[in-house]
Amino acid sequence: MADPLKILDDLSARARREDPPSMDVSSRVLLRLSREARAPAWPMALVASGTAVAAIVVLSISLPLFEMLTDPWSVFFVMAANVLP
Amino acid sequence: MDPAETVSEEDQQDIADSLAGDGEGYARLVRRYQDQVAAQMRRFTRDAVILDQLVQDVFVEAYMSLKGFRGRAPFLHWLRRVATRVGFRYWKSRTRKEEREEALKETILNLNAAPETLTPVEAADTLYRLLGKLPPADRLVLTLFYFEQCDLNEISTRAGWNRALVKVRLHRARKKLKSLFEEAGMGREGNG
Repeated sequence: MADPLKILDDLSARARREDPPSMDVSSRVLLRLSREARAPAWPMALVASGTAVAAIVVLSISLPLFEMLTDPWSVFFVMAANVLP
Repeated sequence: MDPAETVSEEDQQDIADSLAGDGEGYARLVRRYQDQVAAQMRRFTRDAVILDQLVQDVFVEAYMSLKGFRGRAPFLHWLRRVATRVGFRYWKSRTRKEEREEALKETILNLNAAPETLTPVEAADTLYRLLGKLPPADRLVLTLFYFEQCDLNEISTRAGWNRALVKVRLHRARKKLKSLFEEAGMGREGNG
């Protein structure tokens, strides 16, 4: 029985004689590139600003909540000072 | 410097035109190298539709990183590295373990037909199926070494692995291939 590496060598040598494929992809490549160049930048900007707004909302809720839990009296006095004339 | 080791003047001009936004400049580069890239990508797929797609992917990816082309080696060498990256990524995305193991035995047993009796196309198909039974990294190193006849340095450049890693991967891949043959009852007789 033959050595697997010898089989691999023989197969490769034969396979290399295969005729090279012939194709013309230049127009399709240019089309794809022009599509990518034309892709608007606004979806990224929208995602970035959406993320920033979400982060601000989360922080504006979680920070007072955290302060309320860790130091309820100071929150109480701050709120009272805002209510009192 | 050996002219074969530098970027040709027409390539330099077309690259400069492409970077300046001239689509026709890049189209000339694509037309000049598409057959060589297609021949290389055929190691990664035997399907004509996917081949077409992969060749396009190579040129699109090459265009995106064209600014990074330093011009220290011929454009085709750089393009081959991009092509190897695209092909390897395709294998990694497609190759599931079950697919590799499927019909493993049949492929190896079909090799009972002596390679010299196969046509080049049949040999390339058989080789593709046979190496397809291995994980992508092993498959790549064997494809580059046997099919493309790259030496260790060339494999290292194309695959982006260091030389020591290439050596280890090549050794392991050969061992895996031998054990696949043995599992299928086609191991080498005796111990030589």
